[in-house]
This record gives sequence, C-alpha cells and structure tokens, in this order.
Amino acid sequence: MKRELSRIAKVFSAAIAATLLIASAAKAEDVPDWLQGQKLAKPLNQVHIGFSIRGLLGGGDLYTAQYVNKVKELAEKYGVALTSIDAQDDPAKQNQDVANLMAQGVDVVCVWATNAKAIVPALKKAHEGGFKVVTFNAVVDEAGQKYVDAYVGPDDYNQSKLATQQMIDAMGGKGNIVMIRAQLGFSPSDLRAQAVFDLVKANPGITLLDTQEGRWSQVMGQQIMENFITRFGNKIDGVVGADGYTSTGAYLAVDAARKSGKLDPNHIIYFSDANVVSTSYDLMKEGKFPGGSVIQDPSREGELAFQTAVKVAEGIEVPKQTFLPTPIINQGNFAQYKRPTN
Amino acid sequence: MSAGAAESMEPGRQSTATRGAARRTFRGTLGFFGQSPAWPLLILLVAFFTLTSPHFLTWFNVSNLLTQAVIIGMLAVGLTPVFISGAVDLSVGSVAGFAACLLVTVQPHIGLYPACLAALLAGLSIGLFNGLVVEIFGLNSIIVTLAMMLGVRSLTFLLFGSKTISPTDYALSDLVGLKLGLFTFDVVVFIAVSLVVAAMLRSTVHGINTYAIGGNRRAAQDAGVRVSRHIVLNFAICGTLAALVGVTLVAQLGAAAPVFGQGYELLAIIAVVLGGTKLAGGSGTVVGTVAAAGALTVLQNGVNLLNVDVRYVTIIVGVVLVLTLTLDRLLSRGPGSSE
Repeated sequence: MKRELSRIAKVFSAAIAATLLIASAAKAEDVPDWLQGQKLAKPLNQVHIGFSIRGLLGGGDLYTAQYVNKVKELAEKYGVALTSIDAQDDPAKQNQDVANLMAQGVDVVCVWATNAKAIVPALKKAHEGGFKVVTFNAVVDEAGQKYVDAYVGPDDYNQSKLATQQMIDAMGGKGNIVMIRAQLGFSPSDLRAQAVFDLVKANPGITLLDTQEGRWSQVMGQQIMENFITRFGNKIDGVVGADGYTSTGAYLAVDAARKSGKLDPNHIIYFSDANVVSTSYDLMKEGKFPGGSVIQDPSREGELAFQTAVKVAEGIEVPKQTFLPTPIINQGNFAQYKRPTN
Repeated sequence: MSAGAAESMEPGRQSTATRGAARRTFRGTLGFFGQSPAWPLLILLVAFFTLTSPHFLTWFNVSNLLTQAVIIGMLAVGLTPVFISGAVDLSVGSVAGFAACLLVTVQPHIGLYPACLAALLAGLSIGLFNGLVVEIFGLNSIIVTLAMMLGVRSLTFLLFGSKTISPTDYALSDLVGLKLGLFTFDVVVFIAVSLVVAAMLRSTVHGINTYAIGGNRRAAQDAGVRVSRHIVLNFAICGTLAALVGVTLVAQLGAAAPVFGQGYELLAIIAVVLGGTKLAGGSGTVVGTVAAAGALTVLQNGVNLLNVDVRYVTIIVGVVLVLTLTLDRLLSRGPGSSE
C-alpha cells in the first residue's frame, strides 16, 4: 500500500513538474521577440498605456486609423491595457486628454501631438507628475523635448527632402512648382513644408508659385489644385503634396484639366509627396506619377510606437529618437514594394 | 383628489395626471437650479462615473474636471444673455482664436497685462460690431455672426500668419498653474465671471429687459425698453468673454495658433441649450448653462476614464444629449407643446 502511494506520489510530482515546465515554456513564448532577454518591471498584462491621438475623428485620415488600429491590435495580442483618447485636432482638448490619462495612473503617457508648441504644458505636467512620456509621429517643440523620454516616428523633414529632391531631379532642376501642404501648426506638416522651402532656396531654377493648406485630404488637394490650375495653367511644372492623398487629389485635378483642354495634355507635370498611399502607388504603376515619394507604413509605425511604449513602461532603456525607415519610391522602383494598404 | 377618484379615472386621464405630477415634481426639483435639465444629468453622470470608475472621484481628476469645464463654460456663459435676448453669436470660437494670437503677438512689445487688455478690447469691439450690424441693419444674427466667424478666422490667419506662436512672458501660464485646493486660477476667474453674469441677468435692469426682449421684442419696445441698446450690450459682453477664453487658452497652452477655438461655438451652443435656455429667447439661466458645461465635461471625462473606444465617444455624447433634451421636453412641457 505504501509503495503504491509512493508511486502515485512520484507520478503526480512528475506530472506537476511537467506541467510547470510546459507552462513556463509557454510563458516564455508569450514574451515577444523584441522583449526577449530584457528584465521586465511587471508582467505585460499589467502594463497600462495611455495614448492621446491627435485626431481620429476630427481631421483624421486612413493613415491615423491604420496606425491606431495596429497599436490596438498589438495591445490586445499581448494583453496590454490601452486607453486611447481622440483630441479631434484641438490642442486645448489634447491637454485635457493628457490630464485624463494621468488621472487613470497609466504607466506611460503617449502623445501624438496635434500642436507642437501647445502640447508642451501637458507634457510638462505629465513629466512633473512622475509619468514617462513618449511622443509618437509628430516631433514636439524644443521647449517640450526635456519632458519627453522617447520619440518614435518618421523624420518628416528628411523624408520630404528625399521625395521633393526626386521630383526636382526629374524636372532637371528647373521649373515652377506649387505646394499643397497639410495642416498648419502640426509639426509633421510644418517640417515637410520647411524641407520644400529649403530645397527651393537651394535650387535657384525652381520657383514656388504658391502654397495652400490641404489638411491631408484628397478632396481638398483636388480643389486646391483646380484653383492653382485656374490661376497658373500651364506654368505649373510640379506639385508637392503633403502626402499621397493630397497628391492623388492634385493628379485628378490635372487629369480633368487636361481632358477639358485647360491644360496642355503634352505638358508634363511632376508630383512628389512625403508618403505614398495606395492610390498614388497605383498612379506610379500606371506611369502617371513622374517624380516620387517615400514609403511610410502606418502599421509598421504603429508597431514601433507600441513596442517603444511598452519598453518605456517596463523600465527598459530606449533610444531618445527612433525613426521609422522611409525608403524612396518612384515609377522606376515601385515594384520592389508592396502596395500600401492605406 | 382621493385614491378612489384616481382609480375611477379613465386610463388616458390617469396617465395625464401621473405625467402632470411627474412634471410638477421635475419642475419643483429644477426650480432651484434654474429649470435646467443639465442639473439632473450632471448628478446622474457624477453618480454613474463614481460607481464605474475608481479614478473619477479623485482629487486629481476633480481638479482636472474643473479646469476642463472653463473653456466651453466661459464661452457658454457669454452666449447665455445673447440667447435669452433671442439672438445667436456663432463667432465666439473665432474671436477666442483671434484674441489668443493678438495677445501673444503684441505681448513682447507692450507687456503681458496690456496685451491681455488689448485682447479683451478686441473681443469687446468684435462683439459691439456684431450687435451694431444686427440692430442697425436689422439682419438675422445667425447670418451676421456666421460671416464674422469666417471673417475673423481668416483675418487671424492674415494678420498673425499660419503658425503657432509662443509668448516671451509665461507669467500667465504660471498664474493658471497656481492652485487653491481644487481650484486653479482660471477656474476661480470662471466662477467669478459666471456669478457676475448671473447677477446681471437676475438683478439689473439690463438683465430683466434682456428676458423681456427675448420673450416678446415688440411688447418690450412698446413698453419703452431700448431694445437695440440691450442687444448690443449682450453681444459686447459675449465678445469680451470669448476674448477672455482666448487669454485662458494662451495661459493653459503657453501658445497661440490661428486654429485655436475652431468648432467651440457649437459646443458652447450645446451647453447653453442643454442648460435650459430657449433658442427662441425669453428664458434661461447662467446657473443652468454652468451645469450643462459641467455635465458635458463630466461626460467626456467619464467616457475617457472608462476607456470607451474613441469611435463611440462622440456617438455616446450625442445620444446622451438628445435623450436628455427629449426627456426634458416630455416631462416639463409635454409632447406637441408649442412652447
């Protein structure tokens, strides 16, 4: 009887040991690659990320939507609590949103700022309240940099410079261009526009005829381009859009003007913007987009942002700035890249 | 009426009597609070979020809530006398943006407090202009102030450029950073302004005439009330408070941009209407408006604390507002009432 009991006990112990081993192996698998080997301050399912989005409903676009969806998807996948609040492109509301995130005692306050300067008091408050602060996508004003633990997003100035330089090269360094910038006071837009201004200065053969605000919108891009065509007609040799949506709108206006005889169909108009989207990719594929753009993938950016936020929440050291890789794309090399989903 | 008599009533009459009793109770409850559906809504929301979120009724969050109510609350308080007198001002958001940019632009040249005064004077002037155009030309205030909303916004872009500007003196930001218990300086200013406007409406000749004009303009005129003077004054107060919102924005955000205040007029109008002020004029209170601004702030803050998906937040806010106003109409006036 004793022997039997001892055998049962041994079998039982072995079963428990095996279960524990399997469980620990499974737990190790639960830790994603990008956290492997790192010392975590707490289990992932106890991490709480607060995310203030600049404008998902207000002036939001597909890029923002896909970015936010990716962050949400990853939070669900790893069991990370995520509180996201939409600032609806209102700087005052965004300041309040940051305070609301702080009230919930999140581990890290992540901010996709709608205004680089106006967000500074909120960042200061969060920093002084002992919160870790990560800024996403949009660089904040220099006065606020000291309150930021990490930035993850594109290098808007350089990617705009890369894209516009492609267009200027294609134009042979001379001609008249118009710019449909995005949203005034929003740092990605301002940085992209500044790169264009600097390139115009550096290239005396290029004249910037006018700049208008298109708010990342295809419809507004088209309307503004129609107005540009009315004013300048065939004098326009190139169009700089804020992004692929704006450029697509501008292309549609050019196409319609050519068909209606307002523009000379043989006159080449070049295009550039600082991130390609599905429709501008299709134009490149059809040979209708002379010039070029860069690739800025919202899902990849959302993924990098999520990873950085989790690392900061876990007390892992991260670089002060993590830039999203943004390779150039044009009619010559588009086939190397997948069609964007946004 | 005896219980037996009540029992013997026809079902239709019984339900009318019940509804009448509910109406009287509702009105009685609201009497103290200025007959505003915003008070019960505010109390319900506070109770609901206190029960559902451990973060809601904390010192930190209540202080946040008070600060968050200031911007829309101040605009709405300024709009209340205009609405009571039967007019509308859609330019308040643009005036706030203009005042903010003006303050930050002139501050390095004339100093901070003169710059604040200049911003308030600008708001006062725009308000006066609105009122004078409405009264002298007899134009609809919606059209006049809609034009001003667009015109002032464009003027702001033209005069101050398309960029965010920072003041060189941050004393205003330091001032709103000061705290007296739960109250920051801007909250104290908001409470003071609300009390002044409430007292003006309740106890001054101008206030009483404002209600009279909104109730029946012709009758007020026949009774010797100088209608235009009162309406212009209300627009001037409204413009000044909109400019004060601009000053507050600069203090809270440490910057100004031409886009500041965009869309605020709609939120402020919602607060005024939810606060019990009739769109047709003649009735309304500042107390109700303040409660409505509070309810809107609590609702927004609460759904954020409950981590409601951002795509549903505005739907929830809209549904709650429509339900509140519908319930108010059914209980206090009855469906189909012409009131």
